[in-house]
Amino acid sequence: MAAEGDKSTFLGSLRTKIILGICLILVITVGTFIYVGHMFRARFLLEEEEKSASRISHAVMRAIQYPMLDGEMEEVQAILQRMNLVEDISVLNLCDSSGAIKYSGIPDNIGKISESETVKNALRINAVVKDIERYEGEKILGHAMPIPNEGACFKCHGGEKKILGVLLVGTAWEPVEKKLGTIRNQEIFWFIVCIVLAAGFILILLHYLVIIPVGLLTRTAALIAKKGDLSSRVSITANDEIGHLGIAFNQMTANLEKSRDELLQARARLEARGKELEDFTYIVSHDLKEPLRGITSFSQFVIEDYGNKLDEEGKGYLVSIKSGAGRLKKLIDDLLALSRVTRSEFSFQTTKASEIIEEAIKWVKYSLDEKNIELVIAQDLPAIYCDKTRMVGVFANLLSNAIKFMDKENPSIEIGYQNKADCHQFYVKDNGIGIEKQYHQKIFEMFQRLQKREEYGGTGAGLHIAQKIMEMHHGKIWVESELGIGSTFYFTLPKKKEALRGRNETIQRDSDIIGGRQS
Amino acid sequence: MRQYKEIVILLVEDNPDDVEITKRAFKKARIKNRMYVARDGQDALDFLYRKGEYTGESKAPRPDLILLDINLPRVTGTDVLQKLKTDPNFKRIPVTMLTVSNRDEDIIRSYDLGVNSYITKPVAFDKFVEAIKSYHFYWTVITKLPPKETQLSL
Repeated sequence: MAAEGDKSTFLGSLRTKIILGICLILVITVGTFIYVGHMFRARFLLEEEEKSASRISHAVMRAIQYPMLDGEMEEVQAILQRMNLVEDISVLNLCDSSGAIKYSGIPDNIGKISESETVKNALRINAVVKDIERYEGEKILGHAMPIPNEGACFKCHGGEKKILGVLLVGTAWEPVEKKLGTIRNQEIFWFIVCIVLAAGFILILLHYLVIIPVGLLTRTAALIAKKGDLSSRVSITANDEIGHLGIAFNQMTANLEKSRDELLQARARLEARGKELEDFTYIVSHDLKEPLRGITSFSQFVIEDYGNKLDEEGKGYLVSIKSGAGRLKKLIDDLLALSRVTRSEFSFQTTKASEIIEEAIKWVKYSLDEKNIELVIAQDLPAIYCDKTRMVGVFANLLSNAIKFMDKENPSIEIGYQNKADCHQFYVKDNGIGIEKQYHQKIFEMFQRLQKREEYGGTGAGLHIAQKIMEMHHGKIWVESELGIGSTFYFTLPKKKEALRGRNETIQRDSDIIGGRQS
Repeated sequence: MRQYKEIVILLVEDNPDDVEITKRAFKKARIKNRMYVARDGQDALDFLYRKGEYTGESKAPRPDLILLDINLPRVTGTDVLQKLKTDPNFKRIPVTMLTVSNRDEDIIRSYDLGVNSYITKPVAFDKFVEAIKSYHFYWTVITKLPPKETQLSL
């Protein structure tokens, strides 16, 4: 049956195990029955033979009693010889109290000392002894009956109470054994036939009731496991445990399919919602730019064309309009930069952290030199798997913040690295103005500023964008800081590339969708 | 200042403010020009094909350069671009996208359709004037354009 002919070996298959188990049980039980039956039969036959030997002994005794009493010893010998001719009687000896054969069914044996253990035992214990023994090369059932000295015997043997001799009747045992053997062999033959038939029958039952449906379940489960095809069902109609398993399996699969579909739908909805939001940000920022352009341009036209007709106050208002518009433009640019971070494609590659930091320093070189800030960079930096351009952006943003919020006489910034078990941890440490603990989370929100605009420029989008970039890298960013002492911004990058690879694909797929969208 | 010959420009722009700003930028850049304005994509096509209100060459002369916005009502800028660049009669006229959009998708699509250049409108007016100056200098002085006769004979 090719059904489950996969990798399961012959010995490993459920069918073989069950068949072997059942066969073993059959062999043990039926074998025990046959053995016990054989023992009983053997004992029964032995008892029958013993009874028969006992009957023969008594018959012989009765037959020879009168010739003995009459002293006709030739007659006794003749009777024994005649009796010995009866089938099954192998030995018929009359021994004296010393074990010497006085009379025998076979005259040649007269005068010999009986080899029979039965005779010896009967003489010793003065009782009937029955046993199987070898006698002159032949297996016999010996029946030795002692002959006591009784009243009638006193004439010849005196009045002493003693054993006169033993009558040994030996019936052939081998035919009995043969008979037993034949029966046993027949039983074994039928036993094997029965086992083979039973095994075959069980095999067929097993095949149709268990193996085929289980194979079907296995194949379907494998299909689901390998290809995730949750639409597949098993068709098992039997109203038994396997059938119930099949029904339960189908219910489970149906539920799984339903949950998966719901999850997929929910995810699609979420993705669509997220994309909508991103697109919304993007489109709104663009649409905001157009009227802004009008405000900037026309306020300039007014200054250019009617400047001389306005007093200083009027001109001042126009300048305020222009600078407000300029700030609005910066905010919009930051919004656009933020949406660009999430919308456009990430390209992950392994890059030396030192290269990234060098690149980032180029962005802030001028202000570093201007403020005469000491910059310390850690040695032995690792290579990291990241989007290089965006990571440069993160470093540059943290550096420019450190520079911007610097108020000390001996300004210093440190770029450090800590090798953690599962991630690379970088930090940018400054001895600038520091941040109060209550704001440590808030500063990462969009357009959150803690300082007055006049003192420190910027819109407050940079850290939010940095946080977004770290999120895209499955990393974290946080700050540890004390007001007046300085701030340390930490961020981590996972060492495992796999997570980011998956992420990369998603981003690419998403951007394909965005790319295909018509504006 | 060196005198350049007057050029005919078709500006396709739906926002009157932007039209005003662009005209002023040309003026400030001291570019001698005759500017025709189409208020949307359909209007631009009517002008070029001299349909509707634009019958006759006097009303709708053939432009030397076209400035095209992307986000336009009815027929969009990219649709107009596609139409022009597949028409043998117009495909050689340099078309420049003049838009606020700096979306990669818009830029890529425009170049795929055969746009000659793509300018994002700077928000600050002075920067816009600079951009217009460079634009004019590039297309009328630096660049060698195909002769008009050939264009007409096709």
